[in-house]
Amino acid sequence: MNCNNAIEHLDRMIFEEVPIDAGFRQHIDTCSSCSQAYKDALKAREVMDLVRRLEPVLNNPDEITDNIMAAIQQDPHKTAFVPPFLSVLLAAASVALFLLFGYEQYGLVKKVSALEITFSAVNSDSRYSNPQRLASTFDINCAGISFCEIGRLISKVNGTSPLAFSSFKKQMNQRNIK
Amino acid sequence: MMPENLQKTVECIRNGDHTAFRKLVMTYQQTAYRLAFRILGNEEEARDSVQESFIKIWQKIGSFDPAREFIPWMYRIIVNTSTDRLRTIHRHIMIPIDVVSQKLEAIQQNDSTRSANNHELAILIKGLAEMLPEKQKLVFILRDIEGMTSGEVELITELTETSVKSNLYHARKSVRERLLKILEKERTIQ
Repeated sequence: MNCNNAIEHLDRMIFEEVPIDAGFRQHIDTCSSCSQAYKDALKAREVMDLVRRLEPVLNNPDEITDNIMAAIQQDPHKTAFVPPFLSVLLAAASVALFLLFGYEQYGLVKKVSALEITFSAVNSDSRYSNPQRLASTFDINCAGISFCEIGRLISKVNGTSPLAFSSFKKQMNQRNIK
Repeated sequence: MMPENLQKTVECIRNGDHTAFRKLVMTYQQTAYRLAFRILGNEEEARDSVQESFIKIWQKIGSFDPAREFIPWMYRIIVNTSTDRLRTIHRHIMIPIDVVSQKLEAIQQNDSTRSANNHELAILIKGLAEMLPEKQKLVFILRDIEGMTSGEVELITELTETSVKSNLYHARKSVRERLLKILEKERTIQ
């Protein structure tokens, strides 16, 4: 055993039970610096043993118990244990709900934007007088909602009265466009 | 408390039984105090930490999984409460080596019982571990002073095996240097 191995051994010896083998014993008998390090390590280990062995004294333990009991008298258990499988189930349900409503929301936003474009074109363009052409230019039927809904949605989006669509609706009905 | 008794007590506490909770507090408050004291190095702070920890145990017992072991769960609450408290009171005051050395001598002279003067013991523990970073200090106290296994330390601190090993290695290195300085000082005083 050389000095490096011996010091490594001594370092461990301070904190844990390490068996002292013949090689180590022989080395510290012949090496004065490691012999001194061994004596220091033994003393350091004594201090560690002392720190482990000595218990701090808890004065008035009954007072602590009474304080704790007084504090919990009006305090209910706040949380409930959720088994792991239920946690997974709840997480999956949350994701499903998010996807479902997210998709609905996405569809609605898409319809409203399509209708906004249509409505602004209707208001500003001479094509308003030609609903059939309008229907072919803007794919109103593809939006999949009725004219009543169109009026309602547009009025929600930009505050326009749903009545603005009434004459357009009449013309569409006359020409059998739904 | 025997494991089966502890299990029954915990079940009763989960059902809101105050008497069972009192029994738990009376059984484990000294253990909790010892741990809190070793982390905080202060008698009053340790007392407050014990009270706060048991109140949290009562409040959170509903979230405890009965399939797991109760003691590491309880220890985790005590350790976390004491660590939080340590952060608020931390003053980064290093205790001089000669003060630690004097207290060590006083303790060694009166070492006839398991008890020591709380003030002297606090100085000795702080003198050894005060300078360590939080994780190193926790791992060192749990592993080398409380005498827990590495697995128990991992459970309580929620650190990985590698992290526990690494923190313990660095903590031991610092404590060893400190210890040798204290002993050297003691030798020069004598």
